[in-house]
Order: sequence, then C-alpha cells, then structure tokens
Amino acid sequence: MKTRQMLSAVVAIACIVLQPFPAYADEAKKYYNQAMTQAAQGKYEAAADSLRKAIAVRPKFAEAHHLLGIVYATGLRRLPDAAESFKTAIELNPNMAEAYYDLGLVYQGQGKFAEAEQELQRALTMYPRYEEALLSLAQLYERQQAIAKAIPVYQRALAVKPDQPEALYALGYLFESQGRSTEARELLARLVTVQPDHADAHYLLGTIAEKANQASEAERAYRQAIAARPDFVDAHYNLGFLLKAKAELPAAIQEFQTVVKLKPDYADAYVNLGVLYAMQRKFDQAEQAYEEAIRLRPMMAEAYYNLGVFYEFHLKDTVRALASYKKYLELGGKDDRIQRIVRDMRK
Amino acid sequence: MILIEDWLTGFVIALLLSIPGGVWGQTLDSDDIEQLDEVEVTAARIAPLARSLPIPLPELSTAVPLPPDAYWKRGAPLAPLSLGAPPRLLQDNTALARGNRTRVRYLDPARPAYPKRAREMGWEGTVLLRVEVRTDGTVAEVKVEQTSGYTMLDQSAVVTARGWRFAPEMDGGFTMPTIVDVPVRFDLTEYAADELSK
Repeated sequence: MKTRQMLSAVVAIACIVLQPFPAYADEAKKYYNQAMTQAAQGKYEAAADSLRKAIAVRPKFAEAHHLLGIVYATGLRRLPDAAESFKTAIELNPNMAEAYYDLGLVYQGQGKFAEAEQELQRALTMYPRYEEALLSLAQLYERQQAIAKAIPVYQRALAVKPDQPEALYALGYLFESQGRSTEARELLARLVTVQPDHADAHYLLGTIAEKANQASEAERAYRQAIAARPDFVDAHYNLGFLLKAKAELPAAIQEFQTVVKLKPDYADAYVNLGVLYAMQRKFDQAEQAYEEAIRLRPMMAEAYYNLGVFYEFHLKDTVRALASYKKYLELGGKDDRIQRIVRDMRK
Repeated sequence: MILIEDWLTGFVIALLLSIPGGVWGQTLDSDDIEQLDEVEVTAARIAPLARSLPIPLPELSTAVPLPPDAYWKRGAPLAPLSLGAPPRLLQDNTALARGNRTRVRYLDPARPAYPKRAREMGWEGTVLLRVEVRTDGTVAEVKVEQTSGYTMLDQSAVVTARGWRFAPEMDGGFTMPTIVDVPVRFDLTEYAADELSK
C-alpha cells in the first residue's frame, strides 16, 4: 500500500518536474514511465533496468533514483542498493521528503535504528504532517521499547488524522501498558467505532474491562473480537474464563474446546478443560484432558496439582493422588496443604 | 498371692513396653505428636466393690479446619504488552472446600480400670501413653511415654488403650496413620468424700 502510494506520489512529482524538459528528458521520462508500469506488474528486474536506462540518459534524474531505490527495497530486497539510490536522490533533490522517509525505512529494515530515526526526523522537519513518517517513527521507538518517545509521536499522528487506526490502536496499547487504562479505553473505543471489525481492539478492550472487574463488558468485547476474527484463540480462552466465573460450564467448555481445536498444543487449555469436566462430573473426560496437558507439557506443576485434586476428591484414589502431588512438588509446587500431605504420608 | 501376681504382670508389661522395635523403632519428632485431652480415671480411695464410675470422659479436641492456601490466584492484572497466550489457568478448588484436616478423635473410649490394690494403697498419678492409630482407627501400638510411677496403673491404662477405637486423622481425602499422646490420670481424691459418706 505504501509502495503504491509512494509510486503515485513519485509519478505525480515526475509529471510536474519533467514536463518542460527537452527531448532527452522525454526519453528518460519514457523509461521512467515504463519502469512504473513494470514495477506495478511485479516485474522488478525489468523496472530496475528501465530506471538504470533513464538514469543513463539523465544522471541527475532524482525521481528515477528514488524509484529505483523503491524497486530495490520492496521488489528485489536489495537494501544496501536501495539505500544508495535514496541517498543519490536526496543529493540531487534535498527537499524530497519521501526519499528521507524511504531511506529511514531501509535503515529500519537493516536494524540501523539511529540512522533510521535521523532520516525519519529529517522527513518530518521538511513535512511535519507526514503521516506515514510519524507512524514509522513512532513504531521505531515502540520497537526499541522507548515508550515515552513513541507516545507523543503517535499523538502527533492522531493530530494529523484523528481516526488513524494504527495510531489509535498502538496508543491505546501503550497507554494500557503504562497503566493509563482510561485513556487506552477511550482511544480503543474510538477505534472500534471507526473500524468495528478491529478484533485486537475489541480484545484489548476486553482485557481492560476484565481488569476493572467489569465482567459483562469484557464478555461483550471478547465476543466482538471473536465475531471479527473467529479463530482468535486468546479471545476464546479469556471468554472461557468469564463463562466459568458465571458458572456457565458447558459454554466455558465449548470455548476451551475451540481453543484446543485452533491450537492443539495449548496445554493450559487442556488443564482448564480438565477442571471444568471434573466440575461436571465427567471424570473420564477430565482425566483425559489432564493427561493431554501433561503429555504436551510434562513440566507443568499446575496440571499435576489439579490432577492430584481430581484423584483425591473426585475419584477417591489417594494412591494416584499422592503420586501426582509428589510430582507437583518435584516441579516446584509450593501449596502448603500438598507439602503437608506428602510429608505426613512419608512418616 | 493376688498382689504378687499383679506385680509380676505389671513387671512383665513394663519390660515388654521397654523393648524398642516396630513403629517405635523410628525416630519421632516429639513436636509433631499431638497430645489428646486427658483421660481421667477416678475412684474412691477405699472401695467396697470394684465398679466403673459414671464420670464422662472428656471430649477430644475437635477437628481444626486448616484451609489450604491457593497457589494460584486469578484476577492478577493481564500483561498488557503481551497479546500472546494468557498466562492463567483454572484451578480445581475442590481442595479449598474439602481439603480440611480433621484430627484423630475417640470413637470407643473405654475407661481403664482402677486396680483394686492401687485404690487400697492410695496410688495415684498420670501415665502418658503414646498411641499409634492405624488408618482404620484401630490401635497399632501403645507404649508408656511417661510412667505414673506405678507399673500397675501404667499397665491398666496400656491394656485398655489397646482396645480403643479412633476416628483416624483425615487430610482431605487421605486417611493418615497417626501417633498421639494420651494422658491418663488416676485420681482417688475427688470421690473419696462421697465414698466415705456412704
């Protein structure tokens, strides 16, 4: 999307810049336009070739260098070559904000974060309301865990475009990570108004509501997350918890069954299924669920705790209960009662 | 002659009780052994007839519920920076409701006889019995942990204690074999006045 936008921008600029040029310029422009078509068709090698011809005809053709950089970066993944092309474009036209932005992206792709930040800042100095540059800079900070720097940049992006979905989500996410749940919730609520099928936003709203002990609101949010993305494992998982708390055991079981269907190696979900089946006195299924959890994650102390309780109280099998409890303690379990039982049974 | 037999029996029992072995062979941490309420054995100093006395035995200490601690507490804040796997699990909380610990208690607490000779001689004292209770509530072994000072009284308490029945200690679903100390007090003073007035 960004590439396409960038290509359109470059074409527009090229049309304006190239119009008054003489015949040799027309030839360079011809190659340039040809490259645009080829790049749009995914023929990146051909596009690069056409652009090199355009540059051979007119070496100071800044836009051709810029487009060549884009083709190198996005089509051919030749990041060092892309960087060189963008630098040349900037040398030829120091006011080309897009080239700074693109060079910043290339540096980011190369893990050169300081250089990337510098180029994005230059693009923004030139064009402070450069939405993409603001988002990229904010994401660069976020990626480096520089949350305090990321937040104001996202806010600037929202000042440019108040309903920018990426900025709304990222800022909501960061505010929540900072414990600023009220602000997070306000931004995410705005986001789901703008984009009602934003599953992650609904999910995050669900976790915020759950943390605030607003179970029904959390449930609603998780259901919306699932409606937007039916295979949203974590939303099903959290919904299962809420339903269990409401004592809606069959519905809770259904959620965890969906979880293990979507993610068959999810040991925690099997433990939860074991607990729920035991509550329903479906002992065979409970035992199978616990065994599956332990098979998937043999070092899971909590599974052995629950299995021990299952044997002790539901199946009245103290021999197997004791074996499970011993394993639980071996794996680092600290429950006082279990420690006492195992200690006393050893005497 | 009867007296001599009594003394001999007492001597033999005392000798047997002093032999280490069986469950007593293991080292016991005295801090772990619960002492039950005292069993009182009272009688008149001079009794015309040997008979049991209608004094109710004390109730043993009743079960003290010990709620197990939950290792897992739900409701912890979710990690907002991770939209990955939620780090929480359901816990089977059955143990919270049913995982209580109930102490051993008497079911059939027959009172030891106060030997006639002891009553005649005015022998009194408290013998501390160490009783091993099986998981079925029967007594596996009894030994004198601390003598009353009179082998005859110790012997009477030991012989009776072997027939005691207990409700065994329970810890949740587990039945625990238990060792408890039971003090048995032989006391002649309390009813002497009543007996004399008869």
